[in-house]
Amino acid sequence: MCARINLRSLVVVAFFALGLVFATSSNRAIAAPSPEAAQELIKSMASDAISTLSAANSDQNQIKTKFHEILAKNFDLPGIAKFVLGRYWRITTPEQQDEYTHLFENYIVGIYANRFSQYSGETVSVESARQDQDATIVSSHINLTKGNQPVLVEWKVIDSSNGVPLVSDVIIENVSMSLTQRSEFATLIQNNGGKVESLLAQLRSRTKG
Amino acid sequence: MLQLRQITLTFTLCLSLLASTACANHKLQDDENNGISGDEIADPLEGLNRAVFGLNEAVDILYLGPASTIYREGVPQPVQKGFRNFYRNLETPVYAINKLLQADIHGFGRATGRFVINTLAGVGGLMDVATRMGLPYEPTDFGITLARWGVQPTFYLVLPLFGPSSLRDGVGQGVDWYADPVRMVAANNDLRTERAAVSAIKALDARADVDAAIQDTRKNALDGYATMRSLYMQHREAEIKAELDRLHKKNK
Repeated sequence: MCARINLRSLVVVAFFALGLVFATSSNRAIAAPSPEAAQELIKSMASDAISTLSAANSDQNQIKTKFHEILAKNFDLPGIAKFVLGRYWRITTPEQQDEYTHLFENYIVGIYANRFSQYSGETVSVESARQDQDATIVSSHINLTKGNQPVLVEWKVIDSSNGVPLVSDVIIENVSMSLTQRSEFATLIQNNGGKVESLLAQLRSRTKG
Repeated sequence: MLQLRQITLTFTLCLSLLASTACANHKLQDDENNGISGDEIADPLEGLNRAVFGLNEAVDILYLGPASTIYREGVPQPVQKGFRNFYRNLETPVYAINKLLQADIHGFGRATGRFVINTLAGVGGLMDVATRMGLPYEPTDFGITLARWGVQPTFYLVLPLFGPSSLRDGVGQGVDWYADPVRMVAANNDLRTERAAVSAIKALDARADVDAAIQDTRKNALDGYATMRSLYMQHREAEIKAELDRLHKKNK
């Protein structure tokens, strides 16, 4: 009798222990990056980007290539691509998903290269970081030239599966770039009879050359 | 008599807004079941909105955009600042009325104080001396008042010339215009032209502030209309949420 209870409690304890292990390990997988790690990511990315842009004699193509590297290294591009396609992700074929992810990455890189090509000495000051569910939000201000007000830019940083912090969204003056793009893509697909192919066609023509 | 008509008009508008809010909530839930996320705003007038958007874009590319660039880059900074202080001061009575309607008595006091101080000590509003005296610029509008009363944006609306709005905020803009004491005084004293000039300067100034976002959208977006709709709604809802949080915290 006594032995049975012991065995039973042992099993219960074992289950609990197992559950705890699972809970902590899965917690770790979705845990937000530490504020320091997230701030460091944004700081190093900003200095990378600024040194690329300030480097003399770099032409537009070189800047684009360099930006692709910076974004691919620091942004969760596949995750962003999936989020932006929203509910349409589930109804696309794996081939379409692959092509879409690839096109989206090039599209995003093109946009950011475009935005940064007008660079004229702006600086980034990285400020506080706060936790928001499974992400860490790093606040920063882009200090504009010509006496314009600084722009509030927040970076949503998540931990990738192998523990490397990555940017999953950029929020400019309370406007999320990922949400904006998701809304745009959804509208585009809806207005074309719900066909994801219509979006792919637009992305193809936009990222050509 | 006019007062009574005004009140009745406002009341009717509010009622119809509340009624449509109930419908909109129902619609949102339906959409959620179909997998549309909650951050999307309903856009039942998309066809009409797109037409007005196209018209606004044409006006903006031809006139408003270039004029605002000339204003921002050609007019000396201190003059721009003076103009900005001036039109903001003329809007302050509307802020004060709305603060009262939002049951924000302290906000009402600050707005009233600002108006009196800047008008008298700030050379008719050209200088913002009130901020330095601890009465900062705190704009608000009837759209925020409606939000405070629980009215949802309901659906997206593009107004001719004024641009992105929603049913709630479009009604808000109309009520703010109608109930503006400065407008009534100007209308009764043959100062319509002067007031129109102030509105024009405000339009140039406000347009110049969003120039980066507009240029960026034109250059990068696949669907400029949908992008603008999302940008506007996110920005406006964040603004309103911050304001409601502030009011809520103070009333606790």
